[in-house]
Amino acid sequence: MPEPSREWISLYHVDKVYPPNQNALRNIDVKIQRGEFIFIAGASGAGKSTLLKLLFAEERATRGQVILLGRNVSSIAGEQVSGLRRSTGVIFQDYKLIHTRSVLDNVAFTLEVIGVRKRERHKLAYQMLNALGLKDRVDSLPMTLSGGEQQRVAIARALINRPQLILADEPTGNLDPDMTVAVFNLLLEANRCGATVIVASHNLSLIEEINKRTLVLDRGRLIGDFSHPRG
Amino acid sequence: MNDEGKRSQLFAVPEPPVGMGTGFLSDYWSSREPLPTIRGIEIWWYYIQRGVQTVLALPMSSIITVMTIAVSLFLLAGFLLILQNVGQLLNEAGNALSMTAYIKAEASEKDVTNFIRELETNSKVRSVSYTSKAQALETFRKDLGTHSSLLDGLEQNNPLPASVDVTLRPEIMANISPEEIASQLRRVAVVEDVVFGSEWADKMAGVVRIFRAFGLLTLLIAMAIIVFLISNTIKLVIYARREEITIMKLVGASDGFVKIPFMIGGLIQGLIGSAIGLSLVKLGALALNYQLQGSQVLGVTIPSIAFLHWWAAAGLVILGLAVGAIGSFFALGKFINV
Ligand SMILES: Nc1ncnc2c1ncn2[C@@H]1O[C@H](COP(=O)(O)OP(=O)(O)OP(=O)(O)O)[C@@H](O)[C@H]1O
Ligand SMILES: [Mg+2]
Repeated sequence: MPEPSREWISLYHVDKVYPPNQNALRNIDVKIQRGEFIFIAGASGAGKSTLLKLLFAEERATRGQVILLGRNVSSIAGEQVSGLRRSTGVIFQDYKLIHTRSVLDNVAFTLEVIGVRKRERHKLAYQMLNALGLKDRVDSLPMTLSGGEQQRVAIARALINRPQLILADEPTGNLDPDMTVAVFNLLLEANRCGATVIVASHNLSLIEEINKRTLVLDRGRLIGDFSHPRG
Repeated sequence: MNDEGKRSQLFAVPEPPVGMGTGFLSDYWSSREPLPTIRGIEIWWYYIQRGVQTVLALPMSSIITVMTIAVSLFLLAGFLLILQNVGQLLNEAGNALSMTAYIKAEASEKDVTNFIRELETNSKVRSVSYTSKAQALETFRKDLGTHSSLLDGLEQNNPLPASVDVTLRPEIMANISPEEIASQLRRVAVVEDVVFGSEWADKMAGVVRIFRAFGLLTLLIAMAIIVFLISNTIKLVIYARREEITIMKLVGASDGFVKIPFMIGGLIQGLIGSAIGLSLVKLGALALNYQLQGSQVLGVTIPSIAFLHWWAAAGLVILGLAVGAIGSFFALGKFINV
């Protein structure tokens, strides 16, 4: 009996054109297996964020198909979109924290939308923030945190729901080397626990160090797919 | 390479820096135990709490929304109250709306009887009473009292005309002026002249006619303006929170999860606003009653101003609620499609 397809994500001939005519992605063909840890590399403006945005339906492909678990992400709507986003942990490049809520509430928010009880979600959020060295800032508003601290809050929020898919857009862009290592250890650990992780980054030395499969984008085109960049 | 060795060691070492409790993550992750969630009635309680929070989160905007609703409903309720009370006032004033048709001296008794019968069957007329020449003289004599001797000897050559007092139905005043009725009566052969009571009744009737004619139109326009104002105010509130709404949607909140609290917030604001608006109208009515107590307008005691019928008041509260919730709903539509 043939092995059932383990494809988690497939992109077929995907184009993304931002209106009026900004070609962000051109003819992308990629297959990603469940449980992979993948980097997306490329210069600024290469289309890394755009590619991630297609995977949780923040943006829709202009042409081609984005298939996630057998479902065409380009054509889902309403509750299906919310469902997809709930099983995906996204670390946004610009963090996207809710400025009117405390750090703890921000992290707990992904659990709040699925109706987890307050006591439970606050406990988990506290543990997650503690794991990221932020237990002293839980009651602060995001605006009072440094860039790196806000980034860690965003990471905590993305991980707290035990997502099957983690999309991290430049997750360590604002972190010092120690914290960068810490965050990647967390992402690798989530990956070991079964999460598929996709990280967009232009930090090539970091990509080289971690030595995982790397997709290279250049001005919207996929110009490389290295399973182990270091060799 | 030396450097490389150091780096791979960095990532191979499980010992986490900066107080990282990585053990927590794998324990948490590998236990696929479902988390305890709220259900049933608790979900609505949760939504109500968040609805209250949406109202409290931007206190100034909420106050403006509540005041907009209060003022709008105050105007609307005041308008309804005036309509309701003027109608009532007119009913009572209608008693005084009578006119007197003086009969020509040469008119035959038969013609006069026919005229009275005609009036009695007329739908515009409430009541008719005939005063003969003799009765007129008698009344005059009584009015003069001690000076009644002046009229002695007039019985034979009574100069006073016979007359018919016609009391009109108050309802008709909305559609026809007393002047028109008077001129219709003047055209009747037996009628010498028509005198009707008071000028104010005529003016009043004119006002009511305008009210009735434009009342519905005014009401509709007022309501359209209110809905527009309120949904605009709520739109501003939601606009101020669009970023938050976008983020909620991006981390997986459903439409209902985002919308319901705002709609509950709209309901709360509508309820508070309409309560304030109606209370103001009630206070206004009380104050007016106090001022007008016992005063009269041209012989008619002004009846005390009645408050709105309970169903009108209930209707206004529901309108306030609906406007709050619908305003939120439409205001949300624009920002929720992420
Ligand atoms: N909303 C948008 N409207 C129009 N053009 C956009 C939009 N978002 C991105 N672009 C354009 O699409 C291209 C790809 O953008 P994208 O954000 O995917 O790049 P990136 O690889 O993530 O860059 P960076 O490393 O700077 O984050 C860029 O040229 C950008 O200007
Ligand atoms: Mg980017």
